[in-house]
Amino acid sequence: MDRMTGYAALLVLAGIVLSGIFAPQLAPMNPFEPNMAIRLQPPSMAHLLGTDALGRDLLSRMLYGGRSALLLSLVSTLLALGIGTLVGMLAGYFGGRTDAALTTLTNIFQGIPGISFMVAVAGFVGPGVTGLLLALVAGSWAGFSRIVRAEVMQRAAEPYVEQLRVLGCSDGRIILFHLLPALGGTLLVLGTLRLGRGVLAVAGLSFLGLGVQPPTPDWSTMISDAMLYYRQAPHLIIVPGAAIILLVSSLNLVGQMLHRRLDVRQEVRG
Amino acid sequence: MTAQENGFAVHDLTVCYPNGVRALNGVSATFPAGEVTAIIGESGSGKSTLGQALYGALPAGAQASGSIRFAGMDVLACPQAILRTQYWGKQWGIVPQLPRAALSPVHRIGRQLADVRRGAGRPPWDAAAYISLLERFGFDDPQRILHAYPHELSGGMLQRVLCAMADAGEPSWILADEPTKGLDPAVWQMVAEELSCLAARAGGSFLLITHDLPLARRLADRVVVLQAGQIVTQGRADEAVNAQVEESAHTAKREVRRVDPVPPKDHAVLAAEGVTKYMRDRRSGAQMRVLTDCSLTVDTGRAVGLEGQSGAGKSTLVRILLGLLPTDDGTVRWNGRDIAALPRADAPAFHRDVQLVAQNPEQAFDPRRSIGMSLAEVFAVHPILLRAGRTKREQVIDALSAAELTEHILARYPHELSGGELQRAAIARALLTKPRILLLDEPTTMLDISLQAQILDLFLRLRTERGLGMLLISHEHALLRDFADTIHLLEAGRVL
Repeated sequence: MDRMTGYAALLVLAGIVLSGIFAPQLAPMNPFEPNMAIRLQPPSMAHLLGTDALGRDLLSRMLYGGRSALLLSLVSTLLALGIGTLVGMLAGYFGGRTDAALTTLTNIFQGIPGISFMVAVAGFVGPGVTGLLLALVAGSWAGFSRIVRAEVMQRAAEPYVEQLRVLGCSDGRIILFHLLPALGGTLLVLGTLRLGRGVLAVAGLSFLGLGVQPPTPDWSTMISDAMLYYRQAPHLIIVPGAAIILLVSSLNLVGQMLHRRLDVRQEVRG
Repeated sequence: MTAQENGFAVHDLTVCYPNGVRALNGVSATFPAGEVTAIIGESGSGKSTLGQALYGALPAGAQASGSIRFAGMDVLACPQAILRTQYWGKQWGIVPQLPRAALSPVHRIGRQLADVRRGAGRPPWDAAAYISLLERFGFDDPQRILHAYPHELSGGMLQRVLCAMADAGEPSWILADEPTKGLDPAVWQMVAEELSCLAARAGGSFLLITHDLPLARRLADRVVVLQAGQIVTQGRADEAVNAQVEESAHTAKREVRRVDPVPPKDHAVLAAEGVTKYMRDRRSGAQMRVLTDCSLTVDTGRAVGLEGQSGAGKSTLVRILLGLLPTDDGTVRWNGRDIAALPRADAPAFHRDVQLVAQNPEQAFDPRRSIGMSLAEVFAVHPILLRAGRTKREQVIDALSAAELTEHILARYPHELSGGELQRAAIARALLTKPRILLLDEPTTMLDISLQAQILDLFLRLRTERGLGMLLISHEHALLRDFADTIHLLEAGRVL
């Protein structure tokens, strides 16, 4: 991948994020208002991307539709990153029994098969945003924790950390001011790569009806709604599908660019 | 191809770094194939830069002029992609400095050897070939080494693993950068042997970058002596050159004098009493006794020496004295109080009183913080040290000048400083807490001979002026004899 690809991905990502943020200003129509008279129309001047099965303007729905995927993915990634860093840090720094207990816990969570577990949680808590978040976080924090643990173990054994202890620095001080900043690059890269997978997971669950609920515009629910009409109006599937592909791949490419820039160790895929 | 064609020819090479330092200045030399050439010089003489330039691997931003030719190819003009695909790791092998940093901590040695071989584009070997490779490099138990992770091996073993690794790629040239830095004599002997074995296998085309004269004398056919970026002398490693080399080294070494310290104002004592320590062997899971009934006293105004080979338990004892490791039997007393039973409120006072100067100055500081930030942190941990009427900065500068440094170092980061400067900065940091006892764990092993003498002078002066109690740990008897009032010998975990 050359440098240009990275910048192009960054541009695409910025475009998607900005259009999500400014959707209320940018959207030409109300994305919730049905109009059965103009249902399933192909793209035209009045409706640049056409209309859906209820006659709603697709462009407006597309602008709003990226919000839920991005936001849910972001929140779940931050939560998972927070929990994973905390657990991994404690396990790696204190070692011994703390480590054994936390690593066992991590292993249990990492042994859980991703999507099917998410389906189970979402099914258990009920469809909706809470269940979705819970499922995403439970399914992904363990990966962060393992990497953070390994990294902290290695760094905590470095002579300068011992020297800090000799100077009388408390464990909290060493963790907060010396080890955590050292992990910054790793966490940024891991987080960005996870965002892409998060978007896919949200999309998958919402597609199955377990995540974002109608009438909230969401790319994957839009696809699942449009399945009945794929012959008459294929654009209803193609447009949101392409948007998901663009978002996920731009996140991955940006993650890879950061990875190379920040010179993070190789095994960050988790 | 003749030896001449397949060697390096350097003509009028000048290398400047972005910070204005001219690391090499008009260097011309030849490095013929089939001969071991030693590049000798003190730290900062440009010898590592010359090694990097020969392999076309100068750091980004360095400006090089002049020419380097290898088998008709212009190394300086050669694109990195070609160097990477055709030379590095293939024709040109390397034995890097600091073996621990050069190996991946998460892969077994066997796997890393195989990676090197694959990277060099050589046909794969079976397990027996790797075993005989390791045997050639002096390992008695190659099977175990193949399955070991780097952290399970000692520094000397890792250095030999790296020699084997360089050999696995069957390169036609090998460059070894300071391969004996920080090794103790017994290990040195072994590594030197493996290096000569390695040189012989590469058809003798071998570059040795070192400040270790005995090593150069033992291995080299030719020597190139660098000083301040210029070649002082080069030629066959015969008597004349040897003499000249010795001479330039000796002018650098200063006489270490003994002085009588001022009597200390208030007394502090750190004593190990019958300390025994077990460690679990990671492999067999068996408990191994590292220290047996060790007793040792350091008090203000006295210099105590502790001599021992690597693996004798020196570092373990230091860590126990500092309270970093618990004892299994026996106690460490600080002014008569058991440090293991020290109330939380008194711990800072203990940490202020007993400070450490460790072996490797390059790893003594948080690499993300400037020296100034690292020094100022001491006040964040011990606010009691802030005295009325004196700013933090003034106190830091006082400590720096006591360690013979100036304040311009404060804005620098550890990687921008030399080993000597870093060791002085580490001493300054230790002095900030106003300690009464300093533990010096091989403080000069990683430094050049000339720097060693300066740092020792500094310790002597601190001892005289401040009456500090010092425990100097070293494997060099001569150094301890010059420095310490009493010398203990640590052998197989016992203090004799």
